[in-house]
Amino acid sequence: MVSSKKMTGYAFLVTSLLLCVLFAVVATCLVERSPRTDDAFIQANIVNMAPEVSGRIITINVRDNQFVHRGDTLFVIDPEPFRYALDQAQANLDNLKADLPLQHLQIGSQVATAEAQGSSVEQMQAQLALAQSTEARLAPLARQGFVTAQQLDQARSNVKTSSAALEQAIHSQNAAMKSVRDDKPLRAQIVGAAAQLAAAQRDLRLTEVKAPCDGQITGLNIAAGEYAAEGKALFTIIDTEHWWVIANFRETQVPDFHPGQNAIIHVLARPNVVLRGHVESLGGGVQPDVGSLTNGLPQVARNLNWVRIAQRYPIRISLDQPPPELMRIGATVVATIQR
Amino acid sequence: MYLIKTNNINKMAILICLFVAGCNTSPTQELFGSFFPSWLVCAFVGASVAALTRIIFSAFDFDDAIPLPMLSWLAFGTAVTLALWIIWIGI
Repeated sequence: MVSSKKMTGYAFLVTSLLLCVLFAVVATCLVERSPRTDDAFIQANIVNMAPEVSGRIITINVRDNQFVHRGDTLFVIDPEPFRYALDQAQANLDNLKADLPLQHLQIGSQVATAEAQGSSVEQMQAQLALAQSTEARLAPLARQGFVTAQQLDQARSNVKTSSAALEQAIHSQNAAMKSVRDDKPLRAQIVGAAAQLAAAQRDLRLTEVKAPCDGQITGLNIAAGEYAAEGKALFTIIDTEHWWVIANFRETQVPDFHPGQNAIIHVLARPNVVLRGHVESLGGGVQPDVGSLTNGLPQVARNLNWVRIAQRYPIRISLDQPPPELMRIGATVVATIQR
Repeated sequence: MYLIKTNNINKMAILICLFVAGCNTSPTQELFGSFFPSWLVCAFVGASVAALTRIIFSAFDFDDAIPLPMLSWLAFGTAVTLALWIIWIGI
């Protein structure tokens, strides 16, 4: 009887040890097959809502934590100064456009003057030709004594005078042609004024700040009357159109992952709800603990660490059908990758 | 004296049941506002089962027959822990 009890005791010990080893092997295989981490959280894009124009806020149409849709008006900046700027830009453009016909008239007048100078050149050319032919006729007659030397000198003088007059007419024609103005500068000014008008229209339009995406307002702690500065964020919109999980896996596990692998997500706020997703991308790097430069030299700490903790890299897992009620940035989840 | 010990074990068992009743397939469990890994919960249950089993063995005067008690009960508790954990993560 005593021997039987002892045998049963030994059987208990051996069976426990064998089961212990067997279950350890099975558990290790299961974990290897489906790596998991609880170093994971939900993430989404955020938009820091900063106005593109400065001014005093006259209306805020949203409250903190309110859900908004893409295109909803969030707040309105006082549009009055922007209306004035728009009117000024419109008046400037109209003024320049009105100058355009006047400019064309002036150009036409300058072209006519240049053409008149051209006619004067032709006239001078005809006079020179007449003077030259007169001199050519008188020269042989003077040698025969039919005309006086004075008449021949007069003819030669006429040739020189006509030549100088022709040269002057040519210079005048060139000057007149060069003085003909172009309407390109005015047209460039009109283009510039049109751009100023478009910018003024845009500024006026941007006084109404609209939601760039479906999302939830957060961090809103201002009221109407606050001065909004261009580019300075007033509150944040969480983009609720796309949700994903950032799961930090050990570096020994990351090489086995690739985009497209299925993933199971347990949101710890509701552990009974199982979400499906897939690996979207793998993290390319993290800030290393050592190796940074100090005063131009690498900083290397002296240590005697025998045990090194594995680095973790963020794996981005997109959620297939995220339930809106559980989606919050930073919420703790457990991510399991199915290999 | 023995009854008092049994009552304590019963209370513990009720407590364990309450914990386990709230469990699910999540690899991490929330207890009192903190998240614990499921293997830790299984280890707690495994140790409790081992302790309970040893009490039962003692009641039947069988505890003396277990050789190397420390190793035996540690192996038994670990085996129960791993079995529970395999069921948990294998679901």
